[in-house]
Amino acid sequence: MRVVAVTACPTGIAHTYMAAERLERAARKLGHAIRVETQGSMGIENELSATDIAGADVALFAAGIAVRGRERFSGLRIVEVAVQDAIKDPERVLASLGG
Amino acid sequence: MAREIAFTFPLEHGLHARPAAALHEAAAGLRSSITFVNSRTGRSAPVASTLGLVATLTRRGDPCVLSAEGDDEEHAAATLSAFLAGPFLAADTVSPAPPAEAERPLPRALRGEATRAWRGTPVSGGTAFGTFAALETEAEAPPAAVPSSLSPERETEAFREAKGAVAAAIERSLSLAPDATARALLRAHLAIVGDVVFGGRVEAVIAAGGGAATAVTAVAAEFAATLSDSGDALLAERAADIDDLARRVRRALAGECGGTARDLPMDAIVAAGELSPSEFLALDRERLRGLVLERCGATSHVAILARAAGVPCVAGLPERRLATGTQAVIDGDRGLVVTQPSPSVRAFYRREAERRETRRARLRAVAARRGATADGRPVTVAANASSVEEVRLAVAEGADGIGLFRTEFMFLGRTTPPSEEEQTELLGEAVRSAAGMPVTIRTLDAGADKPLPCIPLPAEPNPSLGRRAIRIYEQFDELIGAHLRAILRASAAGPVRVMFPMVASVEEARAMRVLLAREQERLAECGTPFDPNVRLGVMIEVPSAALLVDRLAGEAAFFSVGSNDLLQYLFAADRGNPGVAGLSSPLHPAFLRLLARVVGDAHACGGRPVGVCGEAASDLGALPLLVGLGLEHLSVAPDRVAEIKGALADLDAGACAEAALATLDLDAASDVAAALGRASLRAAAPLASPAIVRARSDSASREAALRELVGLLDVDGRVSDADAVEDAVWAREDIASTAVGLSIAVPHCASPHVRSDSVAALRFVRPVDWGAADGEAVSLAVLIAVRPGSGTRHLRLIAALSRRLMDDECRQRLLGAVDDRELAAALDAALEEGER
Repeated sequence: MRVVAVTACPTGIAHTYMAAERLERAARKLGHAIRVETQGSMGIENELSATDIAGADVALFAAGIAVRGRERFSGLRIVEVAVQDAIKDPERVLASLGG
Repeated sequence: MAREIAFTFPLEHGLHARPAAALHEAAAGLRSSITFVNSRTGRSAPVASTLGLVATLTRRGDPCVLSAEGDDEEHAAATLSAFLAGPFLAADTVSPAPPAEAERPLPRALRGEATRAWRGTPVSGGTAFGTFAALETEAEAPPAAVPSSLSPERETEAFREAKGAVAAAIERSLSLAPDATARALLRAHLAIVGDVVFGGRVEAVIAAGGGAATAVTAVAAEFAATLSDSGDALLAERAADIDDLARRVRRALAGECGGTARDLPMDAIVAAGELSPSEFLALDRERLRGLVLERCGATSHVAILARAAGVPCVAGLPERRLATGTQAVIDGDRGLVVTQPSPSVRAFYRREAERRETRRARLRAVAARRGATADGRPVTVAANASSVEEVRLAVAEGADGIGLFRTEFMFLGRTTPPSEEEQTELLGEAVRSAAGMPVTIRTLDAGADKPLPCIPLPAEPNPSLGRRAIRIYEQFDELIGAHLRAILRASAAGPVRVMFPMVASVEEARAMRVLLAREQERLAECGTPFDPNVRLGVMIEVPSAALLVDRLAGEAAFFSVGSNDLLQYLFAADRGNPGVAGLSSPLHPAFLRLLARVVGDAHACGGRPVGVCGEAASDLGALPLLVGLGLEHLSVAPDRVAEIKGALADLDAGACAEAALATLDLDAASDVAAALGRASLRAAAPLASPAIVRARSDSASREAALRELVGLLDVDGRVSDADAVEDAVWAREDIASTAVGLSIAVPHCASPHVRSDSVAALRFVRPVDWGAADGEAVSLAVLIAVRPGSGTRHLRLIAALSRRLMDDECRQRLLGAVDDRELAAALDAALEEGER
């Protein structure tokens, strides 16, 4: 499964990056391909390109606030979870994406 | 022909009982009859009547005249001028009330206690635990019934006896008074009881047929009404003193002895409607922990006494709600009283007390080191002193020497100048008391503006621009010769520098150098020991001298900016005159430009060092600019040394220099203040340090843990307002618990009350419930606190740290740390790995 994800939390200092790290590790372990864009204190980093999005099976938003640039994902199936869930149990979050 | 002294009333709180009594005492030895006239209110009073003086309703800025008439009127005028210029200014000093914080929310730990917490007005700071003791005060007790004998002679006699008894009781209290503020107030009360105008009025009413008690009540009411009707809240508060004393005289008439000590339970928080100053002084200080009053003004004498005694006081709470015997906490800083405090409230205040103590200890440690900025630029923080006692105090406070030793005290209160021997003795004692540190002695600074009875000078129409300081030296050649020899001889006792005040030209500086050399020669001829290498300095107080520093460098080895006079002369504005005081400011670009030029010229001429010894030196707002402009020495009041050294130790000299340079092109002091507010002048503290981690925390709840974490930042000087930072952290926790599995929590906030970006951590002895949805407990909490708009470097490090915390190995290292040092090292390692 190829996943594009966006993480963002209200303060943007810590949990955004914690969630990104957890999702990347879990995806590696489960054998999924994942690219994670962080929308945090330093703005948007690892920004997903149109190619990334076009090649993905599913988009995952692990966010406590509105995701910026949401329109980029139109046409793609979007699954939204709380940012803390992505940190707490990233494997279950990835499993819930199906596919 | 009377002698008159015209002056602008200088004291901030007006002519209240303490300065009035001080003026009365200053005039006590004079034969002339002396009258005080206030031209604004049109009221006048003999100086001998303290009450009459208070009833002139004099406020700061009022045009006033003291006139002396009698066979010693010349001497009287000189004595009073000296008194007005010196001791009188100190008669008004009071420690400030805690800032009103009613607008600020309570700390979170106390919000749950709303049902048993009362918020009043903070009057005197500090915190204490205790038990309420309701006090019925004399103001509420029915007036003592005093039968009148109907004989005016017997009544007059009874009045005089009662007055004597009250005065004797005050004398007794005076001998036991615990602090200078209490003594000053008691002396004022003594003056009111013995007041000639008051006594005269009472006796006149008695003679007209009124009984003594009735007469006292009536006359006291007249005076009190004058004050109450003045429309001035400050003066109206002073009516309480008159009521207080009238009541005591009536009690004495009724045969009750005054000033009885009240029995208090242990650890008493006294609750009363209103307390008179004498009632406060009669309270057992050993047992008194706090005061809760229904009525008490922030500038009333009870408030002033409570602050001087360090007794917390909250006003505006109806005392009837506070039952005797109830346990309570009084928080005089927040204006808060909590009855039957829960264990968590007690823990909150215990921890606050510990934090305060730790902060104090840190400040003491900073004060013990020589003054320097965080990046190691030395800036000596010396003290100003006017007596041997102040030198000792300065040394105890950690001063790096005495930057300004005023010599006028040796000449005060005497009609002939002190001999060379006397001066040598006093100055030598001051130098020995400085424990080997340098003492910069300023030569006599007297003249038309600061008259001394032993240096007779004619009055001048514009004394601050007249013959003062070195401008009178030629006329008093013999006296100044002896004075300089005494200063030189004191250099045999330890390192001494000599500094001349009010130099305005190169010729003057040269003349001073010649004068000093002449006295050195005289001493050498007699074989009297002194240090031949005593350095000569010039004070920069006159703008002309400031513009001549490169030329003055030929005569002087160092410069010291007397900022008070320099500001006044630069802006042509008297700081004591509220009408123009706003014109001058040490933050004004004009002053800063002048200072930059002085420092630049002095450094260019053989690296002459420059210091500041005026009030600007202890202005925390101006400090980064003084450092940034390159000043090497500061000299401040002894009790400010530790605070200034602490502030200095936080500054980054390079950032200050940049900021100072930028302010020179601004328009106004307010622009400079705003620019400083935006600039980042503090040295960047490392994100993590052993001071802000605890490897064995016994905090047992999320509340306690967050409080402990923010407390670590507070004690380390990393936050400006701990309560506000704690609230910001909670604002994030309230959205969702920051515990997210893996038995760690990462609470965080961005708050303007954070001074330097920080990563603090607690490793808990027992896992703590962090309010997570699944109830999972937390063994490690890492608090991240940053300033909004913090640099990207820190945010990048923190983002990387957040990622690293998701790594098992990294977490195991943090969880396995056995002490604070290891925990800090593990955090550092995690941060460093992020940097790669």
